[in-house]
Amino acid sequence: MSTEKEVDRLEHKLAGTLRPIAPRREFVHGLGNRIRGFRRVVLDASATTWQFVLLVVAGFISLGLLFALLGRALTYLFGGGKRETERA
Amino acid sequence: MFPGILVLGEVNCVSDIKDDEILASASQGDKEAFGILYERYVDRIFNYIYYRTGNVHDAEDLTARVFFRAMNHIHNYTDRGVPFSAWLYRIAHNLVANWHRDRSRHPEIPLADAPTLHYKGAAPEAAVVQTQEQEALLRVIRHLPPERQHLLILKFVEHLSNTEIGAIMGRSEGAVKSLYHRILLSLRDDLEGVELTGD
Repeated sequence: MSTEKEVDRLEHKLAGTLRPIAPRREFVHGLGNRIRGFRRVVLDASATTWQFVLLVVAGFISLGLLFALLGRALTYLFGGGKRETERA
Repeated sequence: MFPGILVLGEVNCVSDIKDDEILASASQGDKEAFGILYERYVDRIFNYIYYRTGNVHDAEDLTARVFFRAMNHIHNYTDRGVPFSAWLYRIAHNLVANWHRDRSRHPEIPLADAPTLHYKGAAPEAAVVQTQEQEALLRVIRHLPPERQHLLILKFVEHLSNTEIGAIMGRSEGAVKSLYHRILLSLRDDLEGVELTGD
């Protein structure tokens, strides 16, 4: 058989053997979900960061209010007491 | 969020968006964009690995590793004018090479309960069945150097042109044509040996 014919025959064999195969649907969907699940983890992480920032801001506001209240109470106690003594 | 998806909304429209645009978003950490690239290339990478390993379980495992590795390194990806698939194939090639090396050190007994695969476009009940002749041909192909196996997979499984193959493999069209011809001659000689020895 001539080389050309042999090569043609081989190409025909290759075309029949190396055919595109469909990967299992469960595998493709499962891996796709895992890849997109990775995104959810990142989003969750960023949400947690936001929650933390909010918590810190709320903490500062609470502390500020607490100091203001304490200051006012102290002013009332000492400043008010002084005024009463002056009146007397 | 990948702007193309946000604006167009339709899955059909996503297929019209070029890789470059999706890559720009994916490299910024957009996992939805990476998900589109995954859907676009998962079949090709799976086929490449399946034909290189001949094992469904390992092909699935290695395919998953290719995409996780790609996802973790997508921010390092730089467009050098070669198709994105070339980058994925390179990752797959490295993982398959490691797989072969590990296997030669610790040979494994193949699992008998391998999942059934189907040819693309074939009826679901038509499972992949190879004749003895095809199995012999696949064995010979798997003994070829990786680059030669890659070329055959791109040509016959992906039906790519010599120009497209050249773009992926970093060769000119002429070099691909020449290499392909040499592969055919070498395969013909190898198969003659197999037929004579009855392997």
